[in-house]
Amino acid sequence: MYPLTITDFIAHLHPALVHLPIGILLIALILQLLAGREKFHSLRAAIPIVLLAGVLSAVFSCITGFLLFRSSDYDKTLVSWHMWMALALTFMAFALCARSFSGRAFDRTGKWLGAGLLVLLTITGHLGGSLTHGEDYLSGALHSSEEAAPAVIPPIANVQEAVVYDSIVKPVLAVGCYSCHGPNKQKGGLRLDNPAAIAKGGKDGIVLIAGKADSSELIKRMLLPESDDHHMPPKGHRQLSRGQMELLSWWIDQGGDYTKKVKDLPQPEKVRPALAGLQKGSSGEVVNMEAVIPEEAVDPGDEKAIAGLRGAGVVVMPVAQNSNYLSVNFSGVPGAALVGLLQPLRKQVIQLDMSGTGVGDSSMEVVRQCAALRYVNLSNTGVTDRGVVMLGALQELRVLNLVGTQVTGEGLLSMRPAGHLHAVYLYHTRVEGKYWEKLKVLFKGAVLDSGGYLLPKLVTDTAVVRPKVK
Amino acid sequence: MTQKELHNQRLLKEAQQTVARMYTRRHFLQDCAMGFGALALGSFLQSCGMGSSGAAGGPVFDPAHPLAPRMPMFPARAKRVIYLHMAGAPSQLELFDYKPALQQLDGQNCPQSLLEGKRFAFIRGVPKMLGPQAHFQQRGQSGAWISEHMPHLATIADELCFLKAMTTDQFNHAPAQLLVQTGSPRLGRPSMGSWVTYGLGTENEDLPGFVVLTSGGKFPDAGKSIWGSGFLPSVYQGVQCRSEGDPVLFIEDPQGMDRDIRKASIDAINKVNEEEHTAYGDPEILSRISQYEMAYKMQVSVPETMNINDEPPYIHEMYGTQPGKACFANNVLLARRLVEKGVRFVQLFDWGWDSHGTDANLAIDVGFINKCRQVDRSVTALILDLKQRGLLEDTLVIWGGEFGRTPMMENRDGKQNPFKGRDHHVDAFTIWMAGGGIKKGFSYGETDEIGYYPISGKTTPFDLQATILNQLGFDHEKFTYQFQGRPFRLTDVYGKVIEDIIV
Repeated sequence: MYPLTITDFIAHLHPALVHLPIGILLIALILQLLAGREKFHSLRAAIPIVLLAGVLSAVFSCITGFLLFRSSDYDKTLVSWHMWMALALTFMAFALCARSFSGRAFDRTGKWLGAGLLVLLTITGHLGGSLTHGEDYLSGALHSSEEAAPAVIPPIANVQEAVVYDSIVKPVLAVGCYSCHGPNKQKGGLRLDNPAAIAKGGKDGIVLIAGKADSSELIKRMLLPESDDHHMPPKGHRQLSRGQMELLSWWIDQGGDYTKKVKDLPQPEKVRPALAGLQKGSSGEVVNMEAVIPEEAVDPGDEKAIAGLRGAGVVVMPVAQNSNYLSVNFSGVPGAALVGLLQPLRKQVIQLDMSGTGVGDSSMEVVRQCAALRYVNLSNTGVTDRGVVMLGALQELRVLNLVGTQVTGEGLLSMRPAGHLHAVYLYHTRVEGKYWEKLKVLFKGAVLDSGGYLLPKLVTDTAVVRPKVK
Repeated sequence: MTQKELHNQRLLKEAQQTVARMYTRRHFLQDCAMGFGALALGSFLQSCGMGSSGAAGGPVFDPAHPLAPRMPMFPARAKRVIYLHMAGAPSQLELFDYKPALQQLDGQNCPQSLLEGKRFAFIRGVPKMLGPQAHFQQRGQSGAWISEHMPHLATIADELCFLKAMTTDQFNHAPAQLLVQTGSPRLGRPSMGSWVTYGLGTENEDLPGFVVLTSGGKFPDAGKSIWGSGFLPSVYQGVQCRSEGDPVLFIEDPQGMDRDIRKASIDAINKVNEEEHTAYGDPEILSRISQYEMAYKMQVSVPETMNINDEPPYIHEMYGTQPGKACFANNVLLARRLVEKGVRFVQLFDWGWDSHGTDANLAIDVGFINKCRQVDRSVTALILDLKQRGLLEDTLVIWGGEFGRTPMMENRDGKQNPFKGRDHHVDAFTIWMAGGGIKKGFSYGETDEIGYYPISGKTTPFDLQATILNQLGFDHEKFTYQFQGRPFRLTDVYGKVIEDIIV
């Protein structure tokens, strides 16, 4: 932090002080309006003194405002409008004040002055607000649905053909930086909305070293912990996503060129997911390919069925807040009689744990209808080959746990495994070694775990090291 | 008026006054305000269409069913956690962080640049550098460096994910352990397991959601606070089970009292408590009722779960258990049994890793090796056993200490220790994770040539906690509990999910 001089301190009082003339002058105008009536005639005496207070506070506001204007980096045009309007306002208030002392506040000119003052107050106040909160602060609330939308980079149809700066870097900078380092404000003297300005850097020097993202202030600031005073974008502002930062670093590392296309630059492994994500117009967030729940939403499950299962001691839980997909865990409750209740929930259940419930093949008639199932645990149940073959109907299945069942290699071979399947647990089953090769071909892409791991006996398991006698 | 009548009158008056005092102005205002507020809020919420779903936002404490299962914020990758905390802090330089350059410096004076502005627990003056006291080899497809001290673990290197640039800011055991387990070096915060059971409840209502097992002959330095519930309702604190004798103390029926009488007395107590609750409406009373009921159920379920004797012999051999004794291997097997039964969070503390070199048991070339051998087989067995049962899919295992150990040999108070040892080191240590949606055969973070400072991928206990919560389906920044007028979180104001290690 640079040392704050006394002038800076006074200048920083401006945002607080400005509220005084606004309030006091408004009161004076209300009094003036009211005192025009017979009933409120007695208010007249108060007007001159209120106006005087308003004028004095306006003068102080002007002084502090001018000091602030000298020391900060606000948008020049906006600031000068604000300043001239404020000066005009002060003079007008002064004129009205002078008139009121000689009792002429209620003639025609006095009324015009009052009306003008009100207009100027409004304009000046609004301009001031725009300077501190941004020009779209007020109007933003009116079309908020647009504003509140997540900051996304517009989708790029053909990422490889896109110009890196125009299609990727610019939108990212627009999302994270323009509000303070753009056309309206140049905090720290830095502007990031055109190549020349980026190259020029800010008050403290250049921010981008082509080819060296790690040494570039632009990236360094983003990587600081969010709690750090120097972190950018500042705390409380919209943060850039990981993917977005990766894209920026990549662009700088590859020379920070303004004309090259994506295909012209080398694309290391690290940046590929973020680049691929751009196709869909994502926020640059690295999308987890193995997402746990389906992308499309589903209607809420049948409440009666849920209540029925819960009543019997089965844990039925949405997999997440705001999701209707369900995880059903029988937690050992005998399942054969209850399995029918899954039928009304067949679109919602994506995780099913029936381990140790004693269900058999007939229950699989219902399970096979639960087309959304991704995770099925049938360990230590009475399921055999007949049941497993039925599970081939589950096209979304990822994990299948058959530990401790009577399933055989023949049974698995006659199953048509889902394409997404990535793990089948077969510990303590009757799958014999001779089927292994064939199964591996059939279940390609999935890990088949036969378990039965053994650890060799090692001397170190029992041997104890003793200190050498010196 | 007789003396006795006078006395009775006085008693009656006192009773009336007490009742009056209990119903204070504050109660009155509170009741009124709550009543009006509830009316207003009710109609407001209804207009927002919230009335029916009820469970919006974070978890809500339900005193009648404090451990009822609850949904995570977003889809979880892990449903359970086993945290293996090696209390005392194992040396990363003899296990996972291979530094050949340190060998070259062995026996030389530590350069001043490494000591300036540093504070150590015991090192004073200028210590000597100490090269790695183990032979290293790259293991598995991933090529992770694992030393000879963990020969079994070395065979499953491809299942593990190493965080090799962990750092902390606490160089004493108790605060450092508290920091890892509760997110604060000072007492009073809920432990990770408490947060998790508070957020997710438990899917097995006969067992506690958070179980703690200790071994190594001593409690961890931070005491029971590392599994305490802090300001969370006390039902979320870890239940410490012993691996020898009665697993939970004072849960057996006393002699001459059978289970039916026990049941009848608990029912009677609960009835009194229920009446009390109707009178005062204090939610802690409901909490107490549910705890009594749980204790009654635990009388059967806990001894059953904690009895490892019904495991087949080959499992005992795999884990290297010593039935009947209190040992780490037994605890590890128990941990698997517990998570299999639906326990949410199992925390194991094993004491004895504080290798200062002050005696043979704490020597890096004697006691430390024995400690490694005590855990190597069982921990490896745990990973493989979870894997073959399909449990590693959604069980997160973490192994590590509270800080690391220095590349310098400890010289306690400026004098040479009788054995080779290393002092506490806050700037770099290694922990590993497995399962629960964490990358396999992966290593994140690097330290410099002598393992003194991180050079990339630096992580903190807060990052670890954020990552664990993330895997369980919680945004660590939004998962809060209102206390003393502000929301608290496990990670305080720090922590970033280590996204690089997530599948």
